[in-house]
Amino acid sequence: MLLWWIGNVVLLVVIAPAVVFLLVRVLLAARTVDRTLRDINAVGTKMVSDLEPVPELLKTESYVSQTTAGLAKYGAALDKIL
Amino acid sequence: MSAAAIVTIILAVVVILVLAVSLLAVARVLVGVNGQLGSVIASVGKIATMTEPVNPVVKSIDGNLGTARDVLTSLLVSKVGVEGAAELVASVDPMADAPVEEGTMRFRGGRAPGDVPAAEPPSVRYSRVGEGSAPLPPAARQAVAEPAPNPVASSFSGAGAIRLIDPDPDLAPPAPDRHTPAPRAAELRAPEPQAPAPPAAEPAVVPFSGGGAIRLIEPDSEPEPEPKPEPAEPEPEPEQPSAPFSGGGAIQLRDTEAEPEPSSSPFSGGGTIRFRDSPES
Repeated sequence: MLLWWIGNVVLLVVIAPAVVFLLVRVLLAARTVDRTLRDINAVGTKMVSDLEPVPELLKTESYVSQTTAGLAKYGAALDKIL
Repeated sequence: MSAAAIVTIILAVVVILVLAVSLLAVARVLVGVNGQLGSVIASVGKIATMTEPVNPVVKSIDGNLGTARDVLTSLLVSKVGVEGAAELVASVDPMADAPVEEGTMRFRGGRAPGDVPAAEPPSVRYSRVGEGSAPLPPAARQAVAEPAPNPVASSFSGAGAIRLIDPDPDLAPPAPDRHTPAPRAAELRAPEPQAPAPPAAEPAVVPFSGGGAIRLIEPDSEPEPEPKPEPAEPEPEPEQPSAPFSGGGAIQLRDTEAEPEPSSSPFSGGGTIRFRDSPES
């Protein structure tokens, strides 16, 4: 009987607080992960909106090609003139 | 049943309840994490899709710009040599005296992005006729005085030529709207070199930003004859290639043999621009 009471005390004083402590740690970690994911999601959404003009790079490439071609011809003309 | 057994059972039930509550909270948080992860994965997928063509496009742009730089560099070096080219570039580059990072390759005043001033002076300036323009050195005057084989057509990159004509009020663009963003420079594109201009009786006139118009004229396909030493009758060309200009003025490019009609025209800043091939002008 005495050992049973000792076991009850150990369960109440040691086991239960340890379980609660571990569960609180898990809960806090999960909430931290959730908060971090919210931030990542917000940043990702902003990045998506910021990357919307990226397809315009194709036009830029075309314009640069045309400009380079014109510049080469202009240089050739200058070479002839000078 | 003894009291100790009852206490044990009660403690076990309490511990189990605490475990259940905590696990429920953790599960609820993990459900939220799962949803956030799905959104993040979707965003990352979008980002990956949108940035997919960036690398080859940027490489292509880099290659094009590098080619242009090499062409201009080789042209400059072929004309004045390496030392002369460096000195010439340094003399005309307003940022030539800017501090340069160690190890930065700079042929034409390569500078760090932080060194770029807020407002750089324009590399090309227009001034009124006879005002603020220093006389050209003899070599430059000689180079300018020599008529080019096809001065107008060779100065334009595309298949057409540019001639600046008087602004047509019908073609004048509307007054600039402050709320309307300015057209990007990239939108002003030269005509495609492959596409020959149709032989229209009247050249196409395109309105330009500043109130003028651009007239694209097909350049002469046959090369111009050699300039005669003493032409008996100076024969002006019936139609000079021209293009409309932004400042409401007109710029006309003429050959030496053309009629010496004054070709100065008002410019946007209130001055005039005159292009002449004859040395006496």
